Amino acid sequence: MPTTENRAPADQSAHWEQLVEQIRAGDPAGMEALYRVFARGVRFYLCRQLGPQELDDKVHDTFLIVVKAIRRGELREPERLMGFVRTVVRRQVAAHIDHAVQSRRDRVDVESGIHIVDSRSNPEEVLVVKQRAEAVERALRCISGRDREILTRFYLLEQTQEEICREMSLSETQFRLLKSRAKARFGELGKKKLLRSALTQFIVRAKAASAD
Amino acid sequence: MYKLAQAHPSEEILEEYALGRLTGPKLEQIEEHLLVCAQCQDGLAETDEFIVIMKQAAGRLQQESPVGIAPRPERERFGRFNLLGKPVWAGALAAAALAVVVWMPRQSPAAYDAEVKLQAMRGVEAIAPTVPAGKPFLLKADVTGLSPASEFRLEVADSGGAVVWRAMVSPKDALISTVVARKLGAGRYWVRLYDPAGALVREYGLESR
Repeated sequence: MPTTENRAPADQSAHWEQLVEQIRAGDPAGMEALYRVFARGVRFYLCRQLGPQELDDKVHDTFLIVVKAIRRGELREPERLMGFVRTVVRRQVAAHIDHAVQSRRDRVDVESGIHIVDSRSNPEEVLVVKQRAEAVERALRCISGRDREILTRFYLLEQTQEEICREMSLSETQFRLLKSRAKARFGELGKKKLLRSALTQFIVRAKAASAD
Repeated sequence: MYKLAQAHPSEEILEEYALGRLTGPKLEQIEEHLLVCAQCQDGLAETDEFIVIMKQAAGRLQQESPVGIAPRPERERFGRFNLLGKPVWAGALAAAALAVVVWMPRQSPAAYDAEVKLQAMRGVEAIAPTVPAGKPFLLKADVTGLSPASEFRLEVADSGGAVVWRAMVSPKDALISTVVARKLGAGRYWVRLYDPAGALVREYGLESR
């Protein structure tokens, strides 16, 4: 059976339409199918934007908003379900930030820069991050000055490809080749083996939980 | 153009997304795809991590031995004197430039146009500090009172909550100081500081105009 992301666009649209129809009809199977999307995709988005605090609550709140909207008939194009979900999630993110700022302003006697969450650093994680950054630093020392400049401009100074090409007199093809070559030189330090941050660890845990 | 669900976005597009450079329909398509594609979520998480570590490593190296990047303000300031096509002027300008270099103070390779120190604010009258839109700026934040950590993750998010810039930063004497090279459009932003465990420990408002 094809997974959601492997469906062809037409199939996917039909899938969303069917799902919306099931939710409107109060079919638990539809609710379960939608929650699977939330359990991974929406969770990922919210975690990336807002961090892991109270993530389950945020996912659940967003799920309820979407389900209620569907049941009230507010989703006019069921085949665009994911577009609707994205809009709701983005609004939730903006609302969360507004709320956090408002809460802070209401606490007149409290300095705004105080701890929001009492969380302790994980020494093991700090060490892993440090070690990998040092390994990348060593790798950067080994590549040519030109390649390092391209990577520095792109990742550190966040220049666009166009800016880099213009300022370093490179064609687009040369830029792509140089950048991919420089990245490839990291070999085992390449991105696939880089650190497992809180986000990645969270995904791994989510995968494990869903497999249980 | 990348089409939703017809194919996974390329590594390049994921990188553009992670760097906050996608807008409009492209942004919509990739975000909708990411909602349903576990493979691309993994890919994006790895890309995010790669960018953070690369920034950190390149930033350290850049402080130690900068690669030949022209300071931005000088380049922009003299950009209108486009006389280098003429040999006589080119020679004169080269000589003048050499003389200037002799007495000019050393410029940071990652130049910036403004400096902003994020302040603890009190009450509803608090005004967010302002930075010039479309210009890199030096951001400073006091981390006094936070649990000691060698590094923090610093993020700038737009008013819609989308992260437009992030970096790993190391405080010195309880002060974080880093250049935000990202050119922010006019508007309201949030600067967020995360501890190494990923917990949000501080959040500040920032105005770009």
